[in-house]
Amino acid sequence: MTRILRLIWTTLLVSALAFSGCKRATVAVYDVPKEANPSSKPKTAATLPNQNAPKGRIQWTKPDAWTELVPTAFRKGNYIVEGSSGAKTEITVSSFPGSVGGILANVNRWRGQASLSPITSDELARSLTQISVQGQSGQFVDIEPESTDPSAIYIVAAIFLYGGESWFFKMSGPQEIVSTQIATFEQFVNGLAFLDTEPEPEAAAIKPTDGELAFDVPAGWTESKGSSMRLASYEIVKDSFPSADFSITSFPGEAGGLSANVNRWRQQIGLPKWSDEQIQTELKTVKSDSFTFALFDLKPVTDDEKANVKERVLAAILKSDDRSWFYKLKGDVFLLETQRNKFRDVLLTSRFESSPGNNDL
Amino acid sequence: MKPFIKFFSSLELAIACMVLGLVLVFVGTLDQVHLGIHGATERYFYSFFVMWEIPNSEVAIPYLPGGYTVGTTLLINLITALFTRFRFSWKKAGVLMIHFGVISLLIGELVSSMMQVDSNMAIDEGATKNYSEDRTISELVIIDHSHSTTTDRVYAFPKAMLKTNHDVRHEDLPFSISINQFMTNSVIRKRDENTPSKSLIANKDIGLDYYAIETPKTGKMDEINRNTANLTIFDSEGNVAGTWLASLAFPLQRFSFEGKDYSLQIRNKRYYHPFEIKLIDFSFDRYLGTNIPMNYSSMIELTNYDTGENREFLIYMNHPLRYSGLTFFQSSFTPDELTTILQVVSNPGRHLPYISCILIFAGLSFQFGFGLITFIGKRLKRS
Repeated sequence: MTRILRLIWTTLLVSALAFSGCKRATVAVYDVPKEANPSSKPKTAATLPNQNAPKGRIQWTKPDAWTELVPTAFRKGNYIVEGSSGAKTEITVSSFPGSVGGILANVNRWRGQASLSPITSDELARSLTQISVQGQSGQFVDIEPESTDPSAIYIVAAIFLYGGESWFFKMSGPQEIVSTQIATFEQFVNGLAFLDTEPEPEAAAIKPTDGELAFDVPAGWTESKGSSMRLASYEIVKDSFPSADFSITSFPGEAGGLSANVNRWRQQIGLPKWSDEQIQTELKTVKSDSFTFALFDLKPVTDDEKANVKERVLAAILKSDDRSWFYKLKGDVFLLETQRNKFRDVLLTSRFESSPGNNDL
Repeated sequence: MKPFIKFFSSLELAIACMVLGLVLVFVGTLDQVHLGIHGATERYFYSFFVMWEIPNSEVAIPYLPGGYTVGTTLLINLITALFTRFRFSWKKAGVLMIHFGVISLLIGELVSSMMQVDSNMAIDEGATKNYSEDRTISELVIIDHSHSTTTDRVYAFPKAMLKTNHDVRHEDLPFSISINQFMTNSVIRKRDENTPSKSLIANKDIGLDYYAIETPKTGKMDEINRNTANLTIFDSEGNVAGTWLASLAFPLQRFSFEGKDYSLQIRNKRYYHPFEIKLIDFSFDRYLGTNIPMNYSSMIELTNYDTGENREFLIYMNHPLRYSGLTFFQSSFTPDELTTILQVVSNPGRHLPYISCILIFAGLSFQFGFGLITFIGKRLKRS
């Protein structure tokens, strides 16, 4: 018995020492595939959907009392002011293409941040002050808290639509500090300089940033609850067929490339992968007035496939220089046969309309 | 030997360990306010002794046994008691199972604390990643871009090696790196007339525009320690090549040395995997008409380089993906809802707590069931 116990203790002791030895610091050396641009940040505003090339920029001067923080992907200007009690308020400058959902949507979002209930457009008109800086008109928003609690959130902001972009100059924080900084903030806004920059060369035939993607919805298609990433989501219910699903998604770049996407769709319905040559052979194009789509009809062809695969995918890819749009209709083989022309109509009527919103403020 | 065995198998020792365990949990929970979960776990539970640092000195003295000491002592106590005091009989089979359950629970926790690796994988929609990052550990990386046409060679110096006024080097690198100052946490400021003179020695890249001020270390879950180093690169002759300011969240800073391209960066420790994950879609579903979260989910596509495997998975709350010894949990996302953050956990001992619970449950059921049946039997006999 004593021997067994001695053995157990020795094992425990050695294990503990061995484990503690694992934490010794050493240099790790390994190889990784080269990154395209190693010094670029993983995600910048330019990779976000629906971005417009800026056609003008606004310059500002930091007031002495504010401390500058490092800008982030969304904040072109990032400042902080600390009160004597240690509470902090932040001042940010951001810009986004288009109207970003409109002033009312943004003001109501900010009111939500300040724990206030949303307001109507009539009430909005009363709470906005029209301002003019260097001949540029803008709006001044004052979202005062209803509570007298010094820590209640107080937001003031100036909004300018300049160079096709919405510029937001926003100060938010506890009212005990914000109220002391309003005069400084107004001075800051009045000191803005509106500069012209050369417009970006128009490289791509498609200008996705011209607005939101729209198309004529075919008869019999009903809007379905899609995921946050889907630009459009429809359901097709016909006779006793299982319902078919139509979606449009969009990704920066080529989103993995043609081959990876086509083969992923094929695998989703149980079809074998195609080689790159087969993909090129099967690729058909559909030309509308504005765009050229790459079209794929993924359906069972051989007897073996027909016996095992009951679904079909109609997929179209639209590419610009920096984004890809994926139109995908997936459903029963026979149901899709009846929807082929409607899918084609969707492609032919696709267009970009009005300015989209963006909530990344 | 006998007094030794008597001591380690004593019931008093078991009770002392349990009381100390209670004290540790109590003190550790209170200190979590200051240290955060990670800080408190490391200090009170993943340590042999809880140390108290004498103010204004670098001397630390132990004032409480740590989780490792208490756990290991309890483990030895249970095993010793099992061999010396326990006499097997069917009546006590339940007690034996409970003992084994508690032993496996202690071993499981020891294995988890020593071998569990937690990391995060942040993936943008449409993007692909083949590595995860440990947000609690940082490292200084020197990347040799001239290594080959297809790959870069990474030299990762762990944070533990980065100490003020210390040099770090690797035999394959033609230069050495001298850490002039290492800050566990810092704030970054733009250079101006108030920049302290010691920060002005940085004469390369970002360091020309920004400087760092040391701030107290934080252990809070929602804050990060911005590790920053002011470092100088020397050639083999001892000549200065330049001084850089490297900080967590700074991008790579490229430089040339003896005709070769390098870059340096302080970043979170990375774990590269033999497969890649593409985020097809991140979804944040809310209850209709409200902002109340209903579900977070990530539709991902996994491609294994070695096996050619290509599959899609939906990861959502309480439904992690288990693959290649790793578990991927839906952990978080960015406010724009375009990037998912998956928690990647590797824990060789993850099954042990389940086994422990089953053993303890079975042991308790058997023991109480056996007692109940005996009791009912006696009552029936009497009546």
